[in-house]
Amino acid sequence: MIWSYAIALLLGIVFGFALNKGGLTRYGNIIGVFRFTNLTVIKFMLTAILVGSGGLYLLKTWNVVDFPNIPATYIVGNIIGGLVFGIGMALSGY
Amino acid sequence: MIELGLINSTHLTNSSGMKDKRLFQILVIMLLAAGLAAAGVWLTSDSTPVDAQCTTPSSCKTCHEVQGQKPVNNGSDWHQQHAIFDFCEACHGGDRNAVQKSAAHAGLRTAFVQMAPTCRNCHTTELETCLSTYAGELGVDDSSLGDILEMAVSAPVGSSTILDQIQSGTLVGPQESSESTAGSEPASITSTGTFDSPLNLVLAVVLGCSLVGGTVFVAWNERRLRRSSREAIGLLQNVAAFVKKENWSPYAAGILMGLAGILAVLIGDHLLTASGPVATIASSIFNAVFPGAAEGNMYFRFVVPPEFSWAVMLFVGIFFGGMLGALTSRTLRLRWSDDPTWRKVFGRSPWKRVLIGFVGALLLQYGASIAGGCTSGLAISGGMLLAPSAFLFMAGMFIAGIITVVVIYRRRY
Repeated sequence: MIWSYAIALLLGIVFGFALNKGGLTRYGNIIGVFRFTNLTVIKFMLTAILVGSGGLYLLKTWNVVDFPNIPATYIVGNIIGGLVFGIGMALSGY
Repeated sequence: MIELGLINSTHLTNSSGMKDKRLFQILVIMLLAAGLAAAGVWLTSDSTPVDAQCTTPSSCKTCHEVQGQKPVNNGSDWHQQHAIFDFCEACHGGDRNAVQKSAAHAGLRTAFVQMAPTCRNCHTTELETCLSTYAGELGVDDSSLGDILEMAVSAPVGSSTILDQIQSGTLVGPQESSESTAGSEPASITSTGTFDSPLNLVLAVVLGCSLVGGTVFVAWNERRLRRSSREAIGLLQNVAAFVKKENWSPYAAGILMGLAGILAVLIGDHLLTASGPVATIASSIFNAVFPGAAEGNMYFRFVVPPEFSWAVMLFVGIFFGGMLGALTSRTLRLRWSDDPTWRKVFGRSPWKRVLIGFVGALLLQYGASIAGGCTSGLAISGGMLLAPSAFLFMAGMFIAGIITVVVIYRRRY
């Protein structure tokens, strides 16, 4: 239990560190992607997805990991949520 | 709104270039929308259910909602009101992680009498009214309704959440206890008491320390920055120089993020997320401050139960990780609205930044709750598992984001 929390804390630190160094904590970078002037966010996200999916599916093929429940697909929910989220993201620059 | 921006573009010196950019942008939005429509058509079309799960088990909803096979949400109020997340299993049993239909439907409960006791997990006070309402609709006669009521009332109420029970596999019982109503051992529902657990004290202490420690640190750091002029940076070692660099290549940072995502699944058995813990913390506060109101609230008791979860710890880590990143690049400062892009549009008022940031964050969190995750939890983590929901979410996010920015910036776009 305590190890699980220690792992969470450690991964959180790596996660936050990567976000900060990637420039995802800066307003200009977030807005830039919607203005097509600064594609940092896209580069960061897709690199992370590329590395993550490549690694995870390889590990799965080798039977090293079991996937946790994948996020459920609700077409309308995912899209409407995404739309509302996008407005908030463009306003706050999160 | 886009047209409005187009008309105003005559002010600009470089109007042809701007027009090209706008055209490009409208094209991108249309492309994303077309992609969305195509994804929708593909997902709702009647493909073979097993293949559509991509050999990764998802849930009852893959067939019954997404693919529209025997859609339970059409024409029944009860399911519309109750079908949140993967709760089907709570009443109906079966195995929501099974890929094959026969395995998923093993031990399925369909009779009202088998499911009634589970109602009490949420409806503690108004159980009788609820049961009578639906018994009438389902054609259960009055005499057997009495038995059902008695059995449902005598079933134990666990303070653990349905989700917990599903995960720990302890949500059994109604099937067995329905065979012999009285006298038999009631359903074994564990009561771990999530909110009373000592872990919440740990949560309170950790959050309190973060708040106090963070404030003290920021104050100390501000003084330090004011006092000392900057020393020479770098030239120690390559690694140190790299860590200290303020702006990493997004590809490098993305690789680090991807590795963190892999590690999270590998050793933590979780997905990285940033919006979920915010809801959990909000729920903890709500449950602590208004226990009465939370008692009957489906969302704050069951959907987002108050607990000191793995993700909350992750969230604390994210906070300090971001701080560490800024500290190593020596940009850690208390700021309000000094971003050049922001200033160009909204000016220097810090209150404006706080207000718009707050409203934006509210919308953002609300959207994340609808969609089931945020940029980290759904788009990136879900994307790593190649979940369709991640890409639907990203398309929605970019469409709304582009339109919002066009509206905010208008001719300055």
